[in-house]
Amino acid sequence: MSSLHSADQCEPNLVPILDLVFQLITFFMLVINFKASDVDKDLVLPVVGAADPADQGDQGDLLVLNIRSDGSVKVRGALQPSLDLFLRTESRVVSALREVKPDQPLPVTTILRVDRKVAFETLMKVVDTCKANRFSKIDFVVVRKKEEFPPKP
Amino acid sequence: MLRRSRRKQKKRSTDEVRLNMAAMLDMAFQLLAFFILTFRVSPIEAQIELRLPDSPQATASSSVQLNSSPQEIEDLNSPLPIDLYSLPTGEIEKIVIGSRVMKSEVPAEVIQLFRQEIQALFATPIFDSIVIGVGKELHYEPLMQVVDLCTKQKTSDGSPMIKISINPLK
Repeated sequence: MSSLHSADQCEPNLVPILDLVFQLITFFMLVINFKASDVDKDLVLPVVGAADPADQGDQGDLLVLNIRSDGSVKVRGALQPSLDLFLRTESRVVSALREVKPDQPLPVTTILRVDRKVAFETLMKVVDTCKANRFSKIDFVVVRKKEEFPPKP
Repeated sequence: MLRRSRRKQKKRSTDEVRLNMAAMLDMAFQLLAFFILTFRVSPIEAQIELRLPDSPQATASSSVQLNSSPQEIEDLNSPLPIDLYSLPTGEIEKIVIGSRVMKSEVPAEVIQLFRQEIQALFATPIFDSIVIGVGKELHYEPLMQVVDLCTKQKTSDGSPMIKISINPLK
């Protein structure tokens, strides 16, 4: 009787579904963005067409400044009460680590993620503060229209 | 002989090691749920390079120069002056190119008028650079839209317009 019962037991084959689930996990692990703390997702970036796609290579060190619509600046997930103080400290650290002379610009690309409603005057103050602290290489981040991308060869 | 063989086969089938896949599947589904819930599709971002006036790193590929005062305008060859005036709310009020004024009550229409105007102007390219004067209250988005339209134009020698200088309005 016991032998008959075990023979009738129906067990689904879980191996294919496990394969599928692992493939999905692999996909999500690959597309997950671990740099999310650098990026303030609350910002609404302006949408334009002709900007170059963000170049991931050969930019050296990156410093991402998120400028919110109220003019406050968020860096690495924390609001900075004094941008000048923060950049001065960063400048000293980078100069010491990279052995940069005081009169030379820092080998750091500053990426400005600016909310679309930030006034030009506020933007100028941030850029001037960067410039005063030798962060001379500055890139603006915008959202690129999808239709503006060149077709793939 | 046959009986012995059957007995051997039965013994082998009872000794078979079977993995319990259900526990592994549970764990895999939990991981999958975590990744699905934390997944957020980010928009396609792009970058516009900026060249600061005193930067020794400036290169010819740099597109936009930003000056903090109107006096710092670089000695550009045959520049086209464009002035952007803003409303107190930060929206664009009007765009002035020389003596031509593009004005509308709807800010999007001002950009549209500017698009038509600049395309007509650069149909026969005679300018090698553009100097944009910006009202201090103007929002970042209309400024970038204007810069974007400027970078799509060609200079007198047919190369892309890369010399764009942005300055505060006097």
